[in-house]
This record gives sequence, C-alpha cells and structure tokens, in this order.
Amino acid sequence: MKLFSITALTAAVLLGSSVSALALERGGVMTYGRYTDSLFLDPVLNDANVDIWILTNIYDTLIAPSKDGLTLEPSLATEWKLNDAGDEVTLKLREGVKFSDGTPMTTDDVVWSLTRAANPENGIWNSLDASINKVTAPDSSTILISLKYPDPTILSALSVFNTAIMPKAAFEAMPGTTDKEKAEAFAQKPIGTGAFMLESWERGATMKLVKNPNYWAMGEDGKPLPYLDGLTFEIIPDDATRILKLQSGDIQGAEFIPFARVAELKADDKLNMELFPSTKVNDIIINVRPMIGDRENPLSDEKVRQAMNYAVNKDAIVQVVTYGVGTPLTSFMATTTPMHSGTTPLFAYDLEKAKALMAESKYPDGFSTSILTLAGNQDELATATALQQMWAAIGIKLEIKQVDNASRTDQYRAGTFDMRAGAWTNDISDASQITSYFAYSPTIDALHSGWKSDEVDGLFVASQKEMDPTKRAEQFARIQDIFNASGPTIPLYETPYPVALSKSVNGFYQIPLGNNVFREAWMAK
Amino acid sequence: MPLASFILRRLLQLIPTLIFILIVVFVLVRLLPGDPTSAILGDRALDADVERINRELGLDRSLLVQFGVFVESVFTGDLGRSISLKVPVTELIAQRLPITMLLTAMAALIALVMAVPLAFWAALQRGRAADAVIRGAFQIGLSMPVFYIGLILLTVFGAKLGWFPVGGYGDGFIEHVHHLFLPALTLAFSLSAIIMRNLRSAIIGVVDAEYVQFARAKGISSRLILLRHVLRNALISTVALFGLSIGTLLGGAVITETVFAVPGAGRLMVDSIYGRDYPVVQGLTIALAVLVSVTFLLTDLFQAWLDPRVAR
Amino acid sequence: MSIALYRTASLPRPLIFGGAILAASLLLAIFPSVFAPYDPNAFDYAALLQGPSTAHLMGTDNFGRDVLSRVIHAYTIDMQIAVFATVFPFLIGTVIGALVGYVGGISETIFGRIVDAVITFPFLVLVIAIVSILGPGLLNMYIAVGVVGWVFYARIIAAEVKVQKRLDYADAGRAMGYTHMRIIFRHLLPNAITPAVVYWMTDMALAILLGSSLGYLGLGAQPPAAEWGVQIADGKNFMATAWWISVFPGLAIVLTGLGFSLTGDGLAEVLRTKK
Repeated sequence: MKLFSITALTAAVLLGSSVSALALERGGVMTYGRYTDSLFLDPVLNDANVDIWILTNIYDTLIAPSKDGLTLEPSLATEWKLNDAGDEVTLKLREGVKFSDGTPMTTDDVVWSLTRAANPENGIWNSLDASINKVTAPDSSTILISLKYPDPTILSALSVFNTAIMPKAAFEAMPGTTDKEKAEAFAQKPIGTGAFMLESWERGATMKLVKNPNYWAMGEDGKPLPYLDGLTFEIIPDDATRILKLQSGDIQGAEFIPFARVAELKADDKLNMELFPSTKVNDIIINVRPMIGDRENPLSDEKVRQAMNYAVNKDAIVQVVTYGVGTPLTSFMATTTPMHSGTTPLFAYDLEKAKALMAESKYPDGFSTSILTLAGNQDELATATALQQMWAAIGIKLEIKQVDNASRTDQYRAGTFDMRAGAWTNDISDASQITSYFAYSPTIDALHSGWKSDEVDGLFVASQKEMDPTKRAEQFARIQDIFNASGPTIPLYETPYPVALSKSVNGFYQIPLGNNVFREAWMAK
Repeated sequence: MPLASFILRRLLQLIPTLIFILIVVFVLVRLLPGDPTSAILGDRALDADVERINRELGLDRSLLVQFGVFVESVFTGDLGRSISLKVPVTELIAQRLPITMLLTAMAALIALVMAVPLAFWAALQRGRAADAVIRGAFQIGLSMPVFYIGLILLTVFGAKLGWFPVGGYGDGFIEHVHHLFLPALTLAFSLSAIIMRNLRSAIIGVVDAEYVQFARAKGISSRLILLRHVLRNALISTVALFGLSIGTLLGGAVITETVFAVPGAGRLMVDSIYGRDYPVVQGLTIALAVLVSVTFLLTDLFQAWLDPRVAR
Repeated sequence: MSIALYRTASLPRPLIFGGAILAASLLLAIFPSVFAPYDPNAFDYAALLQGPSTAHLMGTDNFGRDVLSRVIHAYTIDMQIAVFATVFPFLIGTVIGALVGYVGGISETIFGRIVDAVITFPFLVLVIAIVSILGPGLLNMYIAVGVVGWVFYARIIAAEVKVQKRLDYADAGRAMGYTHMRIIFRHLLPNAITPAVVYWMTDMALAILLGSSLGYLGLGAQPPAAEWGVQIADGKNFMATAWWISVFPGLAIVLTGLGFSLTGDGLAEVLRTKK
C-alpha cells in the first residue's frame, strides 16, 4: 500500500521553480480580461467554471493540485497520510494561517468546512466527497477524516475547490436562517485564506481583488505572496474587443482567445500567447437509445456509429476548428488525466471502411439526423458544419440546430436529442469523475446517451475502492478500451487553454483543471 | 386639454399595459425550453440535485402560486432575487438600467445632431450631388452590422488614436460619457439613417405641398416658411418613428453592449434569458416597459406641441 | 422599345437606379447557380482562408468555400428575408394605422396601449423565446419580426392620417357622402403613405441586418446555408487576417440596401406627384 507523506517543504522552494531568472518585481495591479463574470463565490454552492476557475485565488484547500495537475502539493495542510486500509486520512495543519480578516484558522473551521462540503444537501459537488463519514480534530493542529469505505480519490478530493476552508464564525454570523441564505450573504464579501481578497464587485463589469496581507505562502524573495498588490477582472465578452484591449495595453491578460487568432497573437511581439495544457476534451455525444420518442433511432446501430466515426477526418477538424492548436483524442479522456491510456488517435479517418460499415448496417441508404450546437459558439458550429460535409459522404443528412444552453440541457437531460456537441473539463485530478459521467451508466446514463456496459459499470465500482494504483490503472485502461471502441461518442480533439498575456506578465498559469493561479504572477515595470 | 390631466391619464393607462406585459412575460419565460436549474447546473447535475434545487427555488410549486408570488413581489416593489447571481433583482436593475439609459440618450442626441441638419440640406439640394453623397453615406452607416462598426471604431479611435477607451464603462459621470461615446456613435449610425431618410422625405413632401406653395405666393420669406411650416409638419412622423426607435434601443442594444463591454441592461436581459433567470427577466421587462412608456409619453407630448391637431 | 425608353425617362432617377439594382438582385436570387462559379457549400481543405485571386475573386473562407459563390447564393435567402420579414408588417400596420388615425377616440387609446405593450416588450426576449419555442429558422424569424414590426408602420400612418383627415379635401369627401372606407383608403391613405413607404425600404435593409445580429447570437439562418449576416458574423474572428470573408457580404448588404432606399425615394416622388 502506497503511503503518501510529504514533509513540510518551504513554500519558497516549491514555488520558485516556475519563476524565471528575470529579476522579480513586486507591486502593481494586474487587469485580466474575462469573457464572462463569475456568478457566486461560494466554494460549495457554486455551479460553474466561471466561479471554480478563480475561487482558488480567494480560498485555499488543504491540499493543492500541482501545476501540471498530476500530483498533490501541500497547502493549508503540510502533510497528510492515508491509512493502509484506505479509510482514514490524517492531516497536519499549517501553523499560523490567518483568514484575510486577520482571524486565525482553527481546526473548527476545517471540520466545519469539510463537513459542509460533504453534506449531500449542499450544492452539486458533494458526490466527490461522498466517502467522508466524519471529520474530527484530535488536537489543535490535526484533522482526522474517517471514511465510510476505502476511497482512492479522497486525497485528490481534498484538493478540489469545494473543500476550501472558510471561516465558520464569520459565515455563521451572516444574516439568514439557512446555509443557503448565509452563503449568499457571505459570498458578497467572501473571507478566505487565499492570496487575494475581494474588494469590490460590479456585476458584469469588474471584480477587484486586492492582496491578502495575511497570506501564508512565501515568495521567491522570502516575503509573503502574492507579488501583485491587486488583481482586477474586467468582463469583456466579445473576443475581438478583449484582444484589442490587450493589444492596446489596457489589460495585461485575456482568456479564451479564439483558436482562429492564436497564430496571429503568437506573432505579436508584445504578447505571450500561452497554451496551457488542459483536461478539456471535445466530442460529439450520440443518443444510442433504440427509440427517441416514437421514432426509430438509427444511431442505436453500433455499425452506424463506427461508420460515422471512420468518416470523420479528425485532422481536418483539428485544422478548421482549432487551427492546428488541438490534437486528436486518443481516449475519451484527455492525455493530461491520470490513468489515461491509449497512444494512437481513435478511429483514424477511413472513408472506404466507413462506407463498408454503413453498407453492413441496418441503414445502407443512409438517414437524416440532427445535432444540437450552442448558439453563438463558433467552434461548435464549425465542427458541426464540417461533420455535415463529412457524413454526407456516407449518406447521412445532418441538420444543425443551434439552440441556447438551457434548451440543449433540457433535451439532453430528457434524452430526446439525436446528437450534441460536447466538451468536458475535469474538476478533480483523477480519472474517476470523467469516467463516472461518460461511461458509468448509473450517474447520468453515460452522458444521457442511454449507453450501458455492464462490464464498465462493474469495473468502475471496483476502481472506486481499489487502493492499488497499478490495478486501478488496469481497470481504467479496460474501461477506456470498451468505451472508445463502442461508446456513444465521436471523439474529436483535446485543446489547451488559450491565454494571451502581455510580455510584462510573469508567473501566471492555469492548471489543467482550469484554475487560474495568480498568486505567483508579477509584472515587470 | 390641460397638460397635467393628459399626463395623468396616460400614466393611468400604463397600468393595464403593465398588467398585460406582466402576464405575457411570466408565461413566455416559462414556455422557454429548460428551467433555471438545468440552465445553471448545466450538464453535470444529477437528477437528485435538480429536484432538490427546484424545491429550494420554489419551482416545484404550481404556476398559479408562482404567479401570485411574482405579482406580490411587483407590488411590493421588491421583484425577488436573481436565481443565478443571488442578489436582489432591484439591485441589478439599479446598477444596469442607468447605463443603458445614458447610452440610449447619448445615441439619440448624436443621431439628431447628425441627421436633422443633413436631412434639411439633402432635401433642399434634392437630386444634386450633396443629396446623393449624404444619402449614400447614411446608407452605408445603416447597412453595416453594429459589431462591425463597433470594432472598426474601437480599433481606430480606441487602440490606434487613443482618443477613447477600448470598451468598458469607467468610474464617475465624465468617464462614463467618455466610455459610452463610441458605443453611442455606433448605435447612432442606424438610428440617424432612419431619421435622416424619413425627415428628408417629409421635408420634400411638405415643401411640395400646396400650402407651402401658397404661403410662398403670399410672399412670406422662405426662411420663415422653413421654420414654421416645414419643420413643424415634417417632424410629425419623424418624431413618432424616433420614439419607437428609442424604445427598441433601450432593451435591444445588446450587441453594442457586448462589443464595447458595457454592462448595460441589454446584456443582463440576454444573459438572464439564457440563464432562465425568471425573476430578472420579469423584473427587467417591467422596468423597461415603464421606461419606454415614459419615452413614448414624452414624444407624444412633443408631437402635440408640434401640431396641436394631433392631440385631442 | 422606344416607347419603353420614353416611359422610363419620365420616371424619377432614383427609381431607375434603385429598380436596376433590385432587378439584378432578383436575378441573382432566382438563378444563383447560373452566376456562382463554385458550389457554395463545397469545402476545400487545400485552399483555406485564401485571399482574393483569379481562381476565387472574393477569396475563400475558413472552410475553403468560395466567398463569391456564397455571396451570390445568399441573395436567395436575403432577398426573401428583406421582403417577407417586412411586407406583412407593412400591410397590416398600414391598414390598422389608417383606421386608427381616422377613427381616433377610444380606438386610438386602445391602439396606444397595444403599441406600448408590443414595443415595450423587449424584442430580444421575444425573438429568443420564439426561436427557442418554435425552433430556429427563417419562418420563425419572420414571425418574430412581424409581431413587432407592424407597430412602426401603424404608428407612422396613424399620425399622418390624423393630420390629413383635418385637411379640406377630407371634409369635402365627407360632404360628398363618400363612405368612410373610401375616404380612408382612396383619399387619405395615398397622401399619408409616403413616410411608411420610405420607412419600408429602410426596414428591408434593417431586416437583412437583423440576420447578422441574430447570426452573432447564433439564431440566424441555419448552416450550411449562405446568408450575408451569418457570413459576416462568421468572419468576425478573421477581420484582421482574412477581411474578405466579412467585407464582401457587407458590400452586398450595402448595395442591396441602396437599391431599396433609392427605390423608396423614387416611389415617394411618384406618390407625391400623383397627388
């Protein structure tokens, strides 16, 4: 049984690696252009990436995901240990950590925060912590988590945003009677142990964060992080305007650069066009139920799905949609996901094979079907337009339906869609989350597709209790083999996070799970 | 009719309109596919989560009960809380609507300044080169999509020349006006083209009409004719059109707001529709309706002043 | 032939130019395949984002599709949008506006409330609602535009008719015992309709533009159909690197809009001289 134990390295050593040889400069306010605003800054009750990806600048978790997303690093806990049976975690808390309002973090705060995160009545992330039975504090610097069953993912789960530590007393002092009401009040002016704290927030326009003077981590120069005095998020929904604002020097960073413009910005010598590795996968989700409503569903024929897969020229799609930035998928999960397996792109383009498979299927003469894409999303539209062309070659007439997100989710959840464009990013550095949604039918019917494999379901249940990493990797490899060969998707490509930064910005990064990390960012004057 | 009672009557007439809109918006947002819960939770929500959150939001109650809650909230002036942003709707409206009002007012002003003198000039030079140039220029302004104009203005006057900020809204009134100038100009392009064309045609119509010819025959100087007869008569339909256009601008400037990163009511509206944020869509619709009605009242008053025959 | 020439010479010049543009547009709209050099939907991965050349006069787009062919094929959809999105609002609005303006009184009050309700109801809520409920597509776009659009015509006409009915000739008509309908539609309306016609022609250009706004929001014409507004929206990411994707469809909108507005001005002149 592997035993995790990391001695308390000084933060400076850990963090120093990412900073270049350039002389570090402190101070200044960095402005970062976002495409849309956050909604709700509560770690437990939030619902969306727009919150998740910046929450970690305000709140800390006990354990932190590493920069490459593959390993775990100390954060509010300096060391941790999972017992041999895999059902009890012991964590040592960092000494002297204070919240941004100056009050010291205590075991009370930790016990309360973790209990709240795992409460099945709270939010939509609690299933990540479903194994937690009880959180206790044997002494003033130790946390003991007892689990209902052995859980190989528990340490990774403690690095996920929803287990961030919040100040119990300040939260409970908020007006309101329920946890939800208190959270709504608290999130207007959140208090955490993170590198920054919220100063002001004008919805849909700007969010101003300032340096947390009580932050615990040390910078390369031996003084506390963050290097920046402040961090302002400006909401600039239009891609072209966001880029223009960056080029004119009004802002120092811009997220979600359209792939079509990556090459252009790479050539701009005033900018750094960053492509941070991500866990993002893009695919087409196929409804495989024999009947959709009262009509027969040709997509339920596995031969048809294979034909469709072979008829899709992934390299061409990577070219016209991502302008060469993406890479064809080698499994349904991204290569950055732990326990990913597979080395060659799935279903290499082979039109002859596709035609032969169609001829063997129940629909040799082809059929009509449809795909739901998100209205206004150019990438999905371009993908669907390309698919329309490619599938016409095997007699499939594809109707593209552009709908808004809520309409699509509605049809998706009801299982009345034919196909939809899909994208996924992991929230936890483990293969289990994506697998549970994609392949394990009890979660959401395998992407609401109606696909089911008893072997996959069995393997997944086993993997959730398997404490031997090698055996667990084998289980996931087998799941991936089955799903990749016969699953309800057209795997397309994985893409990095395209972020453009002013040349003066150093030390900023986005981890594969999406978190934007600003605590080590600094600006050259 | 005395002015005060005219205004009072119009304000009273607003009540049935608002009740009608109240019902329509309530029904319409609920006819939209999907619900707030699936809109916010997205693809990852489990059925149990959706059910629980629907219960928390009171969306499992009957429509009649929900409508009762909505009506009550309107009459207490509270309008409820945003489902996705978790703040009071009134707070959001107070933040966003003034921005849109300022933007619209500036656009209207710029449009009038551009359109009225040029319409006169074009009408008087009818058929000559100046007329053709003016009309051609406005036609191009009218035919360009706002995001196209917007991006060109931002690139040239924002990024290249640095005269105006590249989007955003700024702090304080002076900065607001400075930030909103380019988006207002963008909106003014199509608005001024509509006004210019209508006014030019109306002026020509009035000038050609017999009573002006008659006045001219009587020897009234042509400058006076222009002012007294032409302007008054030509403006009647233009003012009606202007009022309508302003009405649509108030809630419909969403693309301009998006391109210029102006956090106005249009964007809030679209985000809220997409997010199925029922309370915000409902509250904002009511607020916009009141505002547009007031705009109409003002244009009607102006019309009545121009031509007393229009008012009863 | 000589008679035809003689007759057109008496028409106002704007009408001739406008009519010529619209006639050419109509020709392209009805027979696009005759004029388009390529299949508008054919991909060419070997010629992505190519600038204008002799092979592709207007260049190619991000799928290697010929921009010229797409601009030509778009005439079919865009002329349809221009006409169908506006003709029903024009007709309905004109009739209602004339009646309301003539009758006045309580009908005007009711009309005023309806106008308020329709105009004050945010247009985008309506469009998104209609598109979401009925599904995306051009027909539903006509419905959405029509539900709101008639109000503009009605309000313009009502204001004009109100003025006209107090002029001497209307009184004369009444004195001569004409029916109200005859007075409204034979006497008042021809004099009141000019601003509505002028606005109608502007409205057609606006309807095409609305396609581009909806395209920006992803609610416009459905792919792979070529439509100028959607083409411009699609070319947005390439304004700096491949301007031809959006500029040429933009020019098509300008040209067609010019055709409509010249026609409108010409018609206005004809209507005025008929008085």
